[in-house]
Amino acid sequence: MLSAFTAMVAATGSVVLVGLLIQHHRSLLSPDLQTWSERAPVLGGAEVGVHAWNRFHVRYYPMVLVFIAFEMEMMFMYPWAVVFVEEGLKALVEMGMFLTILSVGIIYAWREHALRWQ
Amino acid sequence: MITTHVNPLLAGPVAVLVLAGGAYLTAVTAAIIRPGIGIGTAWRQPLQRVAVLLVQRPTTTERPDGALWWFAPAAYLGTAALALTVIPLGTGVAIADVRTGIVVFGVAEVFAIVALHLQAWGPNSILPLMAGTRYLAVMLSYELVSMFVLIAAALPAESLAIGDIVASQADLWNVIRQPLGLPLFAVVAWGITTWGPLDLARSPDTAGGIVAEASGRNRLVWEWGRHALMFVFAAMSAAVFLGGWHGPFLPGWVWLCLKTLCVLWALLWGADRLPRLSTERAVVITWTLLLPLGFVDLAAAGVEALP
Amino acid sequence: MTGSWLGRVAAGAPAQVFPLVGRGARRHVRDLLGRDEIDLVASPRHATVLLMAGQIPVAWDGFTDRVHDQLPHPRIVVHAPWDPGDLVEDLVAAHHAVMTGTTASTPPRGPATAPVDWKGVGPHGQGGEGMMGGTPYGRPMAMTGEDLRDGLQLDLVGVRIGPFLAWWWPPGLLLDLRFQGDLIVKAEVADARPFAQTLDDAKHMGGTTPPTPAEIVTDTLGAVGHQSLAQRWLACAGPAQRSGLAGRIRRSVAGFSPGTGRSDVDGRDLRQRMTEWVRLATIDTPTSPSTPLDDPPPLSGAAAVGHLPVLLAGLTWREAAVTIASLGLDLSEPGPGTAPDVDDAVSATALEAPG
Repeated sequence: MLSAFTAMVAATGSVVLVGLLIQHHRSLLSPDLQTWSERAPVLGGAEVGVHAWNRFHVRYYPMVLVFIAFEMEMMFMYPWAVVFVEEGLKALVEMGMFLTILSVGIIYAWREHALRWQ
Repeated sequence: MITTHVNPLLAGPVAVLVLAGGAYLTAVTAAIIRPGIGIGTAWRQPLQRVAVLLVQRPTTTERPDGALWWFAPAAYLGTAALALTVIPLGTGVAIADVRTGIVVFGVAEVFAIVALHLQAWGPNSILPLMAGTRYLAVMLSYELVSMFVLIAAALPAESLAIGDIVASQADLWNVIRQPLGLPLFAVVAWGITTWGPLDLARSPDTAGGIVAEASGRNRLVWEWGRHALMFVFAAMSAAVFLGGWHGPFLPGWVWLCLKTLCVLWALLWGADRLPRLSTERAVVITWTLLLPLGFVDLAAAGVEALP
Repeated sequence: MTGSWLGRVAAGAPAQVFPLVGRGARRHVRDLLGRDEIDLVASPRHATVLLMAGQIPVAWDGFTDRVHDQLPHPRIVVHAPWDPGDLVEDLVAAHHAVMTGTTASTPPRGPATAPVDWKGVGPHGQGGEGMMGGTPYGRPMAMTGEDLRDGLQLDLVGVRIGPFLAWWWPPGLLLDLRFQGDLIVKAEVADARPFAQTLDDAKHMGGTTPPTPAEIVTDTLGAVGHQSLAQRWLACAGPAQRSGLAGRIRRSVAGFSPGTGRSDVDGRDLRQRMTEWVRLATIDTPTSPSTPLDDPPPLSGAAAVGHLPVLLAGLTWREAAVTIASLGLDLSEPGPGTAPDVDDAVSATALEAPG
């Protein structure tokens, strides 16, 4: 198993390294290479006003709460999938109950328009 | 059951080569699918576009988050490598077929989402930022669909390792006993690579979205990552739903290639034909239609897997 | 030399063109969509060739210079102010020349250094005062304001989105927007002088008409992002072929929620407007006896410009952009609030001889 994880790290690390090396780090670009006017953000030709970084109103926060509930359920489903055949029908019924309870959450969110950004 | 692992020393070069070849294959297939491009030009065009990106100088913006913006395309590409390590490359061969292969694949998906948002945040420009942050809603939604579909495929195999899932399909492919799996997984593939109906992170109303400010080699790495991810999803579909290396007469790796090519074709053709969704519609459809279909898929897989 | 070898391979790629659409050129730019030798790119930073099509007045030089400077090196400009002639050949040749290095990359047109020092102390470049009310690094941060939908007070970002956003964007439309997230809280037309696409002066390019329903459909598909469908639609020779695609076009806008972009003037939302344009594009005559004549025509043209602030408030940016594309804002006469003209003095850069 250790060699498998080593291989995984080696593969991912090499590819990320190749990706980093191909690119140019922005701070390595000397200021002379790009003038101030060439650095303007793309806005169809208009001049820029404020910094783009802002406290972006993420309207889908109610949906994210339901997502987190399902994520926790996912954590339980991983080991459940491995022992499912051994445990038999009981395991299916238990997970079915779990999913049904969470589905009530989805239906509630849908009816409360949490899925629409209103 | 995966018995052969690629030597860790070779894992890096193998991953780079497979991703480069896979990205090229994706680009050629996408070019062929577009109307009016013959096979003769389709072989050359991706290489010519790569050359254009290599000749173009990378640009920067007024006050970018330099380190994050540099890291984002490489991270996007890196998730393709991470996902590739758990996918079989031939009969019983993989770079790192761990016992929790599906979990690793899910981790790669999540990191791809993070990389997409870093790419949106880096340039300090409002159009990429809007495109990326609104896309997060859609990304979180289909993430769940992906998990359900993969777990359903793991049920008959009694294991989270992808090699075991392939082995469990020796008599019957998952696409037949879990027919909903592959279409739902296709939606996830389009989402992670922002292709086709879920092409919201690169939409034209934001002048190209999260890559609006990227040019030259920086954009090249991002596009490489995107095409490589599409290839990786096709390979994963071939392994998990289409029986992997199983097939008569031909050696396992040839079957893997053929199946990957088929899924790649289907994914790109579907991306070309389907309507583009808005973020609201995509979220509503994913939560109210696709996720319940995922439950049905899981329930059917569970009932079928019971002895 | 490896440099020139790579350049020769790059020269074989489709020309990456970002179009600046001026007066009278919109049809020609739209026709470029169907050509395989040309890619109309979404962002100037993806382009190698800047196409200045049609006459662009002097007043817009600042905007064209800004877009020009955003193109990465090596870049080249192709001017086509008059009859475009072999526009495709010119663009391909320009791309070839600049990739192989035959023609030098054009120098930047804007100022080389920022007019305000980033970390200076003074009325405009204070820097370092922090998020609440300061101007770090010379640019203000967005301040809070109330949201339209749920009343939360997060940042209101003031953005100007410019006259040359994309090939499907009405040329010359400059919007002053205030965003919260990606929702438009307030929209104003900063400059109500969209380029007239009808030219009554004989010395300019031959008189053009306002966009036809088929062209408006092409623009909307471009805004939605379905470029391949837009190409197929453009390739249709006549109304008969278009009816074959009508169903797919309607489904393509079905990705938007019903009620998006509903205007009180004609009572239609985005999807219904598109259905109407598609219907008009697939019948042989503009009005056929079977259609009810009291059905108001879709909102477009001069009336739409004045209506834009009401129409766009409360939409997300993507919905707004697609709605704008579906309005067909090529005007035969200037919109309300237009300054008399300026437009006659055509930009000096546009007058350079092409090629």
